[in-house]
Amino acid sequence: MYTEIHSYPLADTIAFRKTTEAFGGLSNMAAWYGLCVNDILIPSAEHLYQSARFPLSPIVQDAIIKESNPMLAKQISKSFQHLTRPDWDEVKFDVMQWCLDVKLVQNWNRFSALLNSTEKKLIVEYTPDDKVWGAKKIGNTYIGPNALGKLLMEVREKARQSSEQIVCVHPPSIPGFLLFNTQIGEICEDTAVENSGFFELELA
Amino acid sequence: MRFDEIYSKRKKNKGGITILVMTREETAKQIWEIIQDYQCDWDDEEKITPDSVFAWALQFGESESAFVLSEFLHLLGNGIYFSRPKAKQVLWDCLVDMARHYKYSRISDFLNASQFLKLQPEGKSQAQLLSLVNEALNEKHGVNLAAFGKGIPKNYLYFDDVLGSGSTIVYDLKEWLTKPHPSDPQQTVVDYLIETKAQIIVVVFAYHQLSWSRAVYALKSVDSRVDRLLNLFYEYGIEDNPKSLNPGLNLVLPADVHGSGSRLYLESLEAKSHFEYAFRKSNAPLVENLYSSPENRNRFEGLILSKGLEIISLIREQNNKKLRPLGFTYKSYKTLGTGTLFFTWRNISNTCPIVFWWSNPAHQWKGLFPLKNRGTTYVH
Repeated sequence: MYTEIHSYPLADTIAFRKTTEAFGGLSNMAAWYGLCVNDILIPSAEHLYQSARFPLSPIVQDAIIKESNPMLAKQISKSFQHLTRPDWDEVKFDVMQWCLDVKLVQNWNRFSALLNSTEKKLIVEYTPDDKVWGAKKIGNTYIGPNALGKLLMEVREKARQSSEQIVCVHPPSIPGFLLFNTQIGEICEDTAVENSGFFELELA
Repeated sequence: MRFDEIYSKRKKNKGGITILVMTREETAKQIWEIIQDYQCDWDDEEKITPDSVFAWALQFGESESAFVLSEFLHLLGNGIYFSRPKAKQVLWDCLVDMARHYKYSRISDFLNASQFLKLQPEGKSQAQLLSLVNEALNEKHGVNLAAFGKGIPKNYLYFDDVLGSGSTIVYDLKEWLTKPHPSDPQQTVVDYLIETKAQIIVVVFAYHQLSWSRAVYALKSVDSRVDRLLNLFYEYGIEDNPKSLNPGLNLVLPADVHGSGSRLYLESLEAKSHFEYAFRKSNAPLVENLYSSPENRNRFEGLILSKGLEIISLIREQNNKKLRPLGFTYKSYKTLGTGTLFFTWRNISNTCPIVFWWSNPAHQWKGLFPLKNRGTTYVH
């Protein structure tokens, strides 16, 4: 489904490419949507997605996460492609969906507002060269698989259908879903923390 | 022959190699030499002496005191105590590092583009650290901090000594970031910082990896972009996240090998979360870089834990749900405490194991580091 090629009329579409654009926050490279998995800070959804390629190579994961620039993190990932998990092509859409869910849950106010602001328009990642995640502009349409755009529209629906803030994300059902040799479990945003005196003033 | 009698022999000849061994008194004196400037800024505060170090170790029992002293001396040799002169040098080096890192050609340019945040009440560490920065600046260049920071700041510097639980920084920054900005009251500080592309630089002597992650994450509740404003400069990192890549575990975090006492204690807590962080795996860390050996880590951690549990069991009314044998932690954490193993001349963090700072004759315990401002608050 995610690899099928579709057409998206320009007039009905919100397209994003650069993170500095109005809808740049939809990009995985957007810097203002930090994440935290297994109590480890992850600078962006791109970092999380790229590190998920290498569950058996924690050193590569570490190099990706330590690089603050998402574009450079992606380049690090590319340089270690030979270490990618063998079933990556089968699981990568599930992983991406999970990354976007984590981005939503951990940045609920900002990301759900951005998704809602796209109203009912189609979402497209405009890219001249990507054959999976984005779509090319040809005349008055964007044409391509646009897998990321499709997943973002699903996340938007999820956010809209939920009457309350979504607080938990289940990991994808794939084997060996590891970060630094540790299984990634359910990620829950503890909304109660804010009101529980969790961060009281220290005495020292 | 008793262990300390063997120990007290000054020289041994083993296979032609002469080994120097120290008496307990000598070891205590060496420890004192390292930590003797503890609370030196306050004339009226109780001071550590070689005798008080020796007496502290004796509380672990005659047979364990020599080991506690020798292992603690080894730990101190790995830089877990910052004296006042060392702290001053570290602060200066840090200023130089920051100026270089952010590509300022001179330190004065960096200082002119920086504002030193004063968010903590007087008497807390921040004001004292800023005064030490001023002292260093004065010694190196004959100028005061007050001479700088006249322009629009790009860097907001938050100084603290130890980021233990992270609660202080969360409290301070949250309050500040949500205030109206003085130069544009229509905007909050956080909005102003984002708009002006400024950054917050947190400078600490030591920090806990886990607490930093949680503090940054907690601050995102102010604005999800806050994490991108925050930068950390530190001298000593405490690698305590067992889910990170090969953490050094340079703290007190015992493996679950010391009997049922710790388990029973944990079961008695109302706290429910983070039980997975209560013990380290018995084969972790992969490489031992702090204690003198994996065996000595086990032994030292076991002693610190069992004495801490003993003290806790003697406290009749445990009103403070954050108090644990290995130091304060969040009340919701089902763990034995934060286990900080880092000290400065200024004070001791309450996230350190309580054997280092708890003092109450009723509990037959006197901590190694006398307390300045915590005193009897939690003594029952």
